[in-house]
Amino acid sequence: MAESTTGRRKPWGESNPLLVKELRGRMRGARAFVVLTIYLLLLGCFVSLIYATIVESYSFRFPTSADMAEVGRAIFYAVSIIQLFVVTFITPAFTAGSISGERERKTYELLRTTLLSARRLVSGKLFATLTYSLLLILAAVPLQGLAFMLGGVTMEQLALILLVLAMTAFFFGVVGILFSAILRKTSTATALVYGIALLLTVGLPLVLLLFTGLFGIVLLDHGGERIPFVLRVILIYSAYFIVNLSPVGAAVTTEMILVEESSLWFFQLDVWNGGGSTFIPLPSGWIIYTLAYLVLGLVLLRLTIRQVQRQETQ
Amino acid sequence: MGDIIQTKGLTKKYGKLVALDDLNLVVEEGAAFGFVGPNGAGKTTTMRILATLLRPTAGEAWVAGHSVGKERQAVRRTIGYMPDFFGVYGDMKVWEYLDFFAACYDIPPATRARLVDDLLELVDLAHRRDDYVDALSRGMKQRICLARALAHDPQLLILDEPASGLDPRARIEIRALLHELHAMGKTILISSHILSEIEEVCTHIGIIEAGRLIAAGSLDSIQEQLQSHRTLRIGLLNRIKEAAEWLAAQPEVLDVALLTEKEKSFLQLEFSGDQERLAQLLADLTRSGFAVTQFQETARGLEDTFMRLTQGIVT
Ligand SMILES: Nc1ncnc2c1ncn2[C@@H]1O[C@H](COP(=O)(O)OP(=O)(O)O)[C@@H](O)[C@H]1O
Ligand SMILES: [Mg+2]
Repeated sequence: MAESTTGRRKPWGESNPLLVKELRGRMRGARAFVVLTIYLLLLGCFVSLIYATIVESYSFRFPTSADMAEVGRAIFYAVSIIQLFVVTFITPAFTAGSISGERERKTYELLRTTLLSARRLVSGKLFATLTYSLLLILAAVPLQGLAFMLGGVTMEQLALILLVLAMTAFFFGVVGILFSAILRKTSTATALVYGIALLLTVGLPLVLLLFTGLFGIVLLDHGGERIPFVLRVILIYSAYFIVNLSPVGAAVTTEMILVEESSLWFFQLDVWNGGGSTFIPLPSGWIIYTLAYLVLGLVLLRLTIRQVQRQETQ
Repeated sequence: MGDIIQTKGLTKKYGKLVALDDLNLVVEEGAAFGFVGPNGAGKTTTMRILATLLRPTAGEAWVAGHSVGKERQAVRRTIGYMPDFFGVYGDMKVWEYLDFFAACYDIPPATRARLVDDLLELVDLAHRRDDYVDALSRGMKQRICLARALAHDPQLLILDEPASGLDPRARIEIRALLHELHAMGKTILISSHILSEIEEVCTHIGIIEAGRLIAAGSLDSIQEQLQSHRTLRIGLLNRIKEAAEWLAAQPEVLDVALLTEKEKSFLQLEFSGDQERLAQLLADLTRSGFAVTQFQETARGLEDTFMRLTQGIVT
């Protein structure tokens, strides 16, 4: 039986009137394109600046292709980090008002008395915003492609960063909608989701820097002998997992594994087991990051739909 | 014809405040039912429960036989709801706005274009088809919101104070529209805090005060109930409990309550007889040996409520 028999439940893909309306609203008029143009112009200026600065530093000799690869990598990282922040902060800015905004503008009751289900309401709001975020991401790909042409960056790296960006947009978009559904005011929802975004992108790496400073040596070196081996492995895995919940952390571990082990997938960490070294496999940062954010995002999405379903509208 | 709305013991509490108190409302199919009561009486609360937007604290409600709490989609399919205060998506064009809601009501794209034009024709906004909704006047927004509520051809319209805040001309237009919709066979539940404002469109009236339905029925039967319904206040020197029992046994006495005010006890009486019967009651009461110190119709009877509503005095 290939046919699903879930009754009148509409598939996610079927044209969603809210998605159409939101997209139409977002793209209507000059605003969306003005924003996009300014964004690309700023990014372009920034890239030129990096290019000029680095090339300038080579001015005493003719840059080799290795130098150019260096420039390419610098541009790639810079653009990727900017995009990451843009996606992290623009996506929830739009979704945090998606439901509370309807309540504030007194349009929510009208919507809720139609046959539009909570599932389609939430998905319509989410995917309309994600489409815009995706547009911002894809619009900057040519700039990253410049780095690609200079060398030093592979196709896989480009694909990976796009995957990470898309997952970031998805996750923070969902968090924004969830707060928008729970909280009465858009301003509170926005403040909260920004708090979480800052925590994950900036706060977490700082905390972990401290953490690894204190415990890293204890865990990995011979000094950690007093901690039982199994406990140490568990600690290493949890710390590693938390590191990779931050996009910055994930980028760093992915890059490290790529450069040092030339692998996109995982590497073996040797841990002192009392008598000798045991190798434990650690997956590359992007794998943990995308999986964790995908699963967490889906769980929160489910939660949001529930919340909208059972909620009274006022 | 059946009852399209039925509520049983409907109660809604906001903390300690009882917004709806054991409301039993019945609206027949095909009626134009005026739901009248002063501000804060519980009209909006009732309508929002019927529109599946609010859950009652106790009691149940059915729309066209569907439970409002358990069969929300079926109820939503049956009703067109217009809230007292609402916003519009200002950045949409008039036709887009209606097209969007028609799509939300699962109307297939092939029939939507035609439907939108018909709706615009009905609410007399065809000439504003390509304008932005924001550019419409208050009365026009009210009409487009009504058109929106009609997109799925609902059996029942629930309209919360549709005429409030409109200028006289817009009121007349809305009233004409309501007549037309009723003539098309729609059942209409319409609320107002001014009876005279909706009296003319209504076949039935329900009067609500402080969350209780104090009278309901066809316009004629309401008039009858009003003329024969009095609230009396009776003060006695002593034997007040005995008097209450004696009064409760009288045929025209609907209800007796023992109340205390400023440490003085008195009886409050719901009485359904006319003036003559009232005089008779007092005579009988004295003859039975009760020492009556006070015997008066109170100012807060049904008739008084009715008067206040008729004149639109807001309490
Ligand atoms: N969300 C709410 N929270 C607290 N009290 C409310 C709320 N909504 C309505 N009420 C109260 O419930 C009562 C009934 O209100 P409502 O149904 O709006 O009356 P009406 O529509 O007849 O003017 C009022 O006393 C009002 O203050
Ligand atoms: Mg009201």
